[in-house]
Amino acid sequence: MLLKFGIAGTALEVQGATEWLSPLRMVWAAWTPAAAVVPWSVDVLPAPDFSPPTAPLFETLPRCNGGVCTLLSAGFEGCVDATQGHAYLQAHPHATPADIGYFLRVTLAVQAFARGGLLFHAAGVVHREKGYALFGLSGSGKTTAAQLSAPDPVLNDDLLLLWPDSAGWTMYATPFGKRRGNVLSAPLCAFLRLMKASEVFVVPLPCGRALGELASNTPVMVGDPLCLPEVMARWEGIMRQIPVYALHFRREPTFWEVVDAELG
Amino acid sequence: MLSLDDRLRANPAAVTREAEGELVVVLPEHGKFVVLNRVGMRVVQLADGARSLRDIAALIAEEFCADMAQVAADVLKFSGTLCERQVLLPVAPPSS
Repeated sequence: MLLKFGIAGTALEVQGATEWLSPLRMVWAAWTPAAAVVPWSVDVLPAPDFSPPTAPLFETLPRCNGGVCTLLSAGFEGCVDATQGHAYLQAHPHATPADIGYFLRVTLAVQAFARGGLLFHAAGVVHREKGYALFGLSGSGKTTAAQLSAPDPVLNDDLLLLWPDSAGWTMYATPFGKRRGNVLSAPLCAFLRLMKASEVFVVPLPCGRALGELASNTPVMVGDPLCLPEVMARWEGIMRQIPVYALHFRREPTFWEVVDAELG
Repeated sequence: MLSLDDRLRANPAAVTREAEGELVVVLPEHGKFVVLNRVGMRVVQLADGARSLRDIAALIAEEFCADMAQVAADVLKFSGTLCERQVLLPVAPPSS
């Protein structure tokens, strides 16, 4: 079967087994690619001769160099090639739709970067019609902060797509995590680096620290030594338009009052 | 354990950017980063595989008008941390 998937300027046309793609097509129905966006072709092929998977593909780190990313582990062999606009995954029949979804997430990260955007490890909260990207490594409190932001819409509590437009940068919802509401995008207003603390306050994040934090939260592409200089240059460009703060917060919803008071 | 006779070089895989007087170093293999102040930046810049840590400490002490013994101790400790984080890599001594 064919699965068409896309966000902002990204688009994938995925050909593969119905049992793998049908569940994804149902869950990802909101992310139909725009007609004008040229898709990359992606083949997801069963490989009965492979040994069965011993772990989810999610645990396999992509090896990337110059926009060509490979994923190799028991039961899987995949490659995303930005230079060709093509990706393929051969997988043992025991592979699950979640494995395929992870491969498509890697493919989307590579395509987004190749086309001027960035996949970003962050929770996206739309507060007073402004988009805030709450970021930090695992355990920093993204999911907690997203939950505490109710009833504000949450584009995703783990991964956002950032895309440039004439007004600046827009953050887009992705299907790669939990969401609240049906909002699919919002103009990006600020980055908030989450810091668990006993007092709630917001301070600008020093430039060097901000650059390092943002770059290290750029999945897949931060691991590409040839693309990493451009990743960092792109973040520098974003930082010239979008401020980056450290949000020291505790487990209660009052932090938005502080954010509103400080950032308006 | 490093000594002042050791020679180090910057990890060639590391990607660096200067930002407002600091050096951001990102290691693609690990996806981790460190931010170095001006003195730390000089240590990394001077670690070319040819200079010893003693040479580097002497240059930094001169540049920053600081006490050589204190700088040497700081450079030794700081270089050890950067080696643990693989920002700096040891260079094998030349065989005699």
